[in-house]
Amino acid sequence: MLNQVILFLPELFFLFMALVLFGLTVASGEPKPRRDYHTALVLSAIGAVITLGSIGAEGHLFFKAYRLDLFSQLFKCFLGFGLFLVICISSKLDGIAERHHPEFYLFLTTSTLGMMLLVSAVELITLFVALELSSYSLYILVPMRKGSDHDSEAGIKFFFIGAMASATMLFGMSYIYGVCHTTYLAEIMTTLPQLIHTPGAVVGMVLTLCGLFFKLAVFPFHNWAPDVYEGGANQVVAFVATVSKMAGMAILIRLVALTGGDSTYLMNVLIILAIVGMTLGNLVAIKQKDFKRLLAYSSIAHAGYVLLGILSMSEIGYASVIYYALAYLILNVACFMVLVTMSEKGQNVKIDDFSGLYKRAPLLAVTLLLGVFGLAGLPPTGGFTGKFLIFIAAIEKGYLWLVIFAMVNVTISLYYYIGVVKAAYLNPPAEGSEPIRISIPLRLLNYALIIVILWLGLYPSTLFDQAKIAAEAVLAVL
Amino acid sequence: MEPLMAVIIPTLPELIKFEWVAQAAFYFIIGVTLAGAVSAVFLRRIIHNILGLIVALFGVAGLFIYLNSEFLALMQILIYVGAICISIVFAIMLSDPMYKEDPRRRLTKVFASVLVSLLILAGFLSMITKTPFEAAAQRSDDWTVTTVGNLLLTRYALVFELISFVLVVAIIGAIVIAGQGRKQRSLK
Repeated sequence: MLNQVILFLPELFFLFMALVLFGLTVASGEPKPRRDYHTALVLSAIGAVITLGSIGAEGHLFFKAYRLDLFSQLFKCFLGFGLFLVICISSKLDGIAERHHPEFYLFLTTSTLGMMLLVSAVELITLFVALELSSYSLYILVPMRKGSDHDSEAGIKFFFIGAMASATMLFGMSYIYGVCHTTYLAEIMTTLPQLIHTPGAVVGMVLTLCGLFFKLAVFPFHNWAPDVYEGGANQVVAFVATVSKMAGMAILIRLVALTGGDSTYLMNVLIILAIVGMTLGNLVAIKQKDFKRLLAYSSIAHAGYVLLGILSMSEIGYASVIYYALAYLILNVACFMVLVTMSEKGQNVKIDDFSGLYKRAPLLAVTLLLGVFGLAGLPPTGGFTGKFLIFIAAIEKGYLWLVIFAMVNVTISLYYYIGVVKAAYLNPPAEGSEPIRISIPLRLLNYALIIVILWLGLYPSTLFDQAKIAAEAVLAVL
Repeated sequence: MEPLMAVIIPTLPELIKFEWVAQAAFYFIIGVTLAGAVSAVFLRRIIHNILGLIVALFGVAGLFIYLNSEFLALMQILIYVGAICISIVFAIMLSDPMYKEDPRRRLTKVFASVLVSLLILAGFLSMITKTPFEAAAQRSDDWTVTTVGNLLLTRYALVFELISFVLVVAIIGAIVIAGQGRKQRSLK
């Protein structure tokens, strides 16, 4: 009994954190944003440490509907730290009304909790409900931005496309159940590879994946990304762009691993989505003036690269996606940290606003440089190593032409990423702009992010070995 | 009277076969469901749409009874008809009346949507006919409320608890967003 509680400790802690924050939402009196911030910060720091400590836990819970292995624990640790980082950059939370700050932290926590349950769920119904828990919290967070005109539009768009994707996913799951007669992934894994050549299994699988394509903003479900990125409060978007994307990647790996890897139809679907997503994201991103919109289109392109790693359907492919997920998290947090610090009243930041950043705040300029170059995939950042590993995995499986195509796309993307760096380093500061003051905790966060980005780029072996073991754990779901 | 009844009752099973009754009931239920769904989608007044939805949901409940799942059928009526449809009606009553003119249906849009739906229907039909669906082994005959309750609190305990958590999040979220809207309106 106690043993099981320890296995479930990270989830229990985040549930406790949600409970504490819920207490703050109903506390009477004037809103106290500093108290809310410090409570959330301390709790999420403890949560991150607990997830780190739970790496290595193994076992089954809840009648085998819930599985703890290195894969799930690694992702839980990423999620825990992702939440911590997003709360770190929320100290200046101007985009949301002060009396709604406790709710902001509460829904971030419930969403993270949903994702933690999601990466451990090995039964279709549990998986679906956990996914809904994480999405519902985000549906509420996006329209919470104060006093802007397009917030409700973004929220409604996000909700409707999300509901549509969930319905498609459930429909697909019903077909998988129809051919496999079970909702347990372990049993599906033994029966589905023999049935994957029947149309019902392929269609069921593709429809199920649609729900995750929505989370990752993969091509046909990408419409929400630019509007939500532009319309949501900066910190909310930082969460959607990092933590939520990572959970999507995790569960995409789990589900694709079920097929056993020799379905030409499924491969073709993934290849087409990867190609269209990469090209569309990168070409449209060139035109963007708003930094968050640019990141939205670049995230659509990045979803394409992730599909490239997943359709290798090999251990190395999955491991490279796990590595890429962490690099993507850190790089995006770096970009959003700069964005949040730049935006004085929680407004959106245009690319021109970065003009002369190297004079106004040299440290931020360095972080931005590394973050943006990392997203572009330039060495020596974690983004380069992540892309490199994915491309290697794809070449090993004989997708050379697809990798060449992705390389062309990376080159296109360099154009707009370098535009951001050019604004920050070569353009003179705008008239009357003052140096940006950086508090000491923020300075420390900057140094930490710079170190992690470089570490991921230069010394990938330790983490990649862990990722490989985690990928083995996914393939041996029994 | 008596002799006539005595003749009819023994011959009744021969006149009307049980399979026919079952078939007739099945098609009747399907018809009710489809009619409800069609009126939920195509009628122009929102109250009529909801009435159509209620009819369709009753039809689905009938399907559950046809499949021997009385519990699900009752839940279907209680939750979907009794709670969800009624709350939609309340939402309509409490929201601002919409005197706005209904937007005209554009012919190209109708044509495009019909085309897409037909294509999807054809795709699914060919997929279903080409897939060899095997019937699963029957797991149990006993689907009483006791059994369902036991399953909910053992095998499906995690999902059961999780769904309640999802509902809590949704309720808090609804309060936050509704309160925000009210404050914005009062500022205007």
